[in-house]
Amino acid sequence: MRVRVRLLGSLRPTSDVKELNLELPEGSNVSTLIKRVVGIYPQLGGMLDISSSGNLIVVGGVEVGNLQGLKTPLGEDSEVVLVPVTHGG
Amino acid sequence: MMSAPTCSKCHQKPSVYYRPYSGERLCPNCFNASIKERVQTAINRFNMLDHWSRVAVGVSGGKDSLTLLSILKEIEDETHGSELIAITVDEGIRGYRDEALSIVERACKTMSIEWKLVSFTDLFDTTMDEIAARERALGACSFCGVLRRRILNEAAKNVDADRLATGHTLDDMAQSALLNLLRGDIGKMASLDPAGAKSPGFVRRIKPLCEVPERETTLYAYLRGFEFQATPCPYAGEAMRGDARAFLNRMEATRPGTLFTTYNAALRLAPAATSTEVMRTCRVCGEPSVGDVCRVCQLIEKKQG
Repeated sequence: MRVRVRLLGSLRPTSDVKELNLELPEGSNVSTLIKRVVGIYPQLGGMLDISSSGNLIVVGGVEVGNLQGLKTPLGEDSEVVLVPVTHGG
Repeated sequence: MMSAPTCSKCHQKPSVYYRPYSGERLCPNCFNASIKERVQTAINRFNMLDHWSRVAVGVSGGKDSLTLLSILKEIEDETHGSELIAITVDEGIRGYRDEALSIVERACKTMSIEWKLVSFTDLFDTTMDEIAARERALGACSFCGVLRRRILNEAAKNVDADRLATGHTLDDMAQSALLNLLRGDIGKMASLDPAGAKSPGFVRRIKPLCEVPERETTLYAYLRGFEFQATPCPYAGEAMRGDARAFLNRMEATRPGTLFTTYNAALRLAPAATSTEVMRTCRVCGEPSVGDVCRVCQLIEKKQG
């Protein structure tokens, strides 16, 4: 299935990458997606470490803490936005 | 696609955010309104503003300071009628600050707020890049923090402001409280007073976002469509604050409410921690100082002209 990922602010791996279109296996969830993004851009590994970063992950307009967290399932054409929390004032 | 529960405030719209420390699930409108209400409550609780205050707002271009500026603009338009002047400090960090300046300029234009830009070069005749390149025992943030505080105070005085508002969030307050403990510097708890202190030579510093978690200033900025700066500060990794932040984030994730508990404990300690230091005048620059030479002049070894 195809998933669109928007990367905001300091979560953009390079200045020209704002968005990714990823092909993920059926049954993928947010955790699968994060692992895939870090696999493509290892430099984001530390920033996307869910246990301590506190970044916001918005799926279909809803922050995943309001759904099933990292286990939130993704579907065909899901839109995911990764919003960095830690960046200074 | 999963559907989210209905907003626990308006009971009408679908929620987009779960607030772990309160159990609320909020739709965008109720979430944004709750943040504005939290700021208004803090302003009132700590008597931060008078009617017709002239407020200098430190705006770095990050999501916290843009959120602060936007909410203060709304609140002041509706209630106090205070004047706002945005002040941005250009520390001279190549790449990092350049992007932020254009974000602040656009935001101030959109909100019709007067904007002043001040630079380390103007006041200290040096840049953070030059300071960072020198041999130094302290981390870059130790220099930057001290110099930024001085230049913001100078700029606020220059625009005749009677308040200087900064975008310190609940996370910043809790981190500072923890750092004060870790450094054994209990006396510094007094500086956590969100209303700031009246002190000769200093514009009173207020922290209206003191009870808003950083995750929520971020969500507010996202929902409001603010620009997010892409370039991180190249010196940020040097700060001990990063360790405190990571620890508190983990605690907050597993024990929601930790940030508020830490902040409230620090507020209870603050009155007892009032400094007994007597303020003098720096013999180099003439600004208020605890010692014979102020911290700014010690750090940049500024010579009297």
